[in-house]
Amino acid sequence: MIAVHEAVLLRRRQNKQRDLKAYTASGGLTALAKAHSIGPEETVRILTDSGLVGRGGAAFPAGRKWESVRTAADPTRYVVLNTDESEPGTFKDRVMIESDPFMVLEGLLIACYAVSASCAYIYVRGEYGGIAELLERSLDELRRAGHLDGIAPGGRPLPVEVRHGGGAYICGEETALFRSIEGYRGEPMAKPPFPTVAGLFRKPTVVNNVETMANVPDIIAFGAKTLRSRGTERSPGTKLFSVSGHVARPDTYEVPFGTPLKELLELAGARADDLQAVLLGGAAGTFVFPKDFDLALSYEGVAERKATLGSGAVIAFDRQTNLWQVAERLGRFFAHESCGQCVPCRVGTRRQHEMLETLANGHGRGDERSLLLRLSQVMTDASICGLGQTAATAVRSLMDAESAGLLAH
Amino acid sequence: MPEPDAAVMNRVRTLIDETGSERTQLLEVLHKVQAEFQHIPRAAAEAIEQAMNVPVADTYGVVTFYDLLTERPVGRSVLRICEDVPCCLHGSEELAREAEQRLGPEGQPSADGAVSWTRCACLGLCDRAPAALYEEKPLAPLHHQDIASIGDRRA
Ligand SMILES: Cc1cc2nc3c(=O)[nH]c(=O)nc-3n(C[C@H](O)[C@H](O)[C@H](O)COP(=O)(O)O)c2cc1C
Ligand code: SF4
Ligand code: FES
Repeated sequence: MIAVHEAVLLRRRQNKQRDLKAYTASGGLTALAKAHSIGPEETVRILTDSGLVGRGGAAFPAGRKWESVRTAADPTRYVVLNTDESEPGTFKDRVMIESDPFMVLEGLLIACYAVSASCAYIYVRGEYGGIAELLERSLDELRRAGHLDGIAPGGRPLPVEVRHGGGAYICGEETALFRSIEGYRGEPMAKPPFPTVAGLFRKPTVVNNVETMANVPDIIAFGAKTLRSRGTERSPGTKLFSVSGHVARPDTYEVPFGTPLKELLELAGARADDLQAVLLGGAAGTFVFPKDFDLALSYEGVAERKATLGSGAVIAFDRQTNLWQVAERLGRFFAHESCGQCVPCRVGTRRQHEMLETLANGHGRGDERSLLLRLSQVMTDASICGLGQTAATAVRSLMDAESAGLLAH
Repeated sequence: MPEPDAAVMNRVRTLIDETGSERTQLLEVLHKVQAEFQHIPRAAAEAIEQAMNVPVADTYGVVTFYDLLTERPVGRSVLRICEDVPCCLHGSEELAREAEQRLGPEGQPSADGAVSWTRCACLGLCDRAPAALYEEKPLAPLHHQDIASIGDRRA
């Protein structure tokens, strides 16, 4: 059976019109109006009760984040829309914005209103120039129609700044992103303090992923139960997945949480039987082999199999693919993208890449696997941020699969 | 002919006036300088020091951190070929080798300064692999023919 492709977030994807008139004609901006009428506290309460968790990778409850900032002692607060999307195999935020820029922006405006933000920042990766322009244009329409009025404290119009990243994967990490907006090298900072306490310019800050923000308008408009009509008890709602690699129809797919991986692959036109494996969750994800293709795409479903949804990237590999060559590319990515601030990651990602190169070329001395394992432990334990901590995750899952005799090469 | 330092500094001062002279605007200013001069010339960093109060060394610290900013000139048009996994599965490495043959060494502009090419990390266009950006716009999937016609445009 093929899963129903549940277009909730992407429901306007086929519409030709992307202007504000078309958006409001199809029910857009009623959620923002409702937020204004029920007030910030009630708005955040609905979000908390909805069970929405962040879609940027860490799966943190969105309502809790907003509530800490809403109730912060410091009256200067910010909201940041994380549009840095740079995880290899991930393009769902781009498709989300291309399909429905106003839905994402309405979520952002509701967030700003709910936490009384002084200013909103949209940090768009430098390579997404077209997306940044689309967002600027859509913001202009909202501004001209008066929808930014009354959102900032004191009923003032909300200032929104679109910022362009410089081409650095690490700037998707929230504290690195703040440094980048502030005009510095995008080097992550140790947490705590968390962004909700001391974020952008050391002020309480909400930072959310594009897909998280896109979920907000329906939740506010239709109530706290909105997500629960789809997905599972512990992972309510739908999820966007970027499917690429050896599939007939690479694309972004929206499915309810809990959909079996196999059905997602079939939606993308892959014959699950022909595949050797998929990499689930991006460069820091895990390899999943056909014996586990029944796994349920929900937070609890992947946890059960020691996998991760990560950024929602699904890269499929046929039986001809040498997965050690894939691992070499992942290793190269991390070595290039490490910000270099801490030694375990700066040196570790380079050593890891060198060993993966050897293994990909089939020239191993024999001790690479045990060295990789020790290295992965050091990087996981001693790195400052998520990049170094997870740079060996995929490699470790590949070694496990190799021991279990699952590789075709 | 490289532009005289005074002209560069004047132009950068104008860009800073348009963008804002607070430190938080540094990356936006640098993007504009890079677009205009294909790199961040020393004179630009000096203008930034005077107008934005960011030391030259600090500016280069930022420049070297970000892939889209460079210390040395790149081509007026840059071809970026993605080298990450989904694109690799669709032949990006062969395309990079083709680019090397037709357009010269990676990162080095042609004699007339028109074109350079470079490998890059995932562009978020994996559904259209093998992906590239040319003049900041998606060129995906990238074909051998695209590289040939880019090569024909340079001296
Ligand atoms: C190395 C690294 C890269 C990240 N890249 C992104 C990214 O591109 N986009 C994103 O939304 N979150 C990214 N994150 C997660 C952010 O730090 C942050 O958790 C997220 O933006 C919060 O939004 P959410 O709660 O809506 O998920 C990254 C984290 C790490 C450690
Ligand atoms: S773990 Fe890596 S990316 Fe993160 S701060 Fe350390 S060096 Fe930088
Ligand atoms: S891997 Fe090439 S665009 Fe994503």
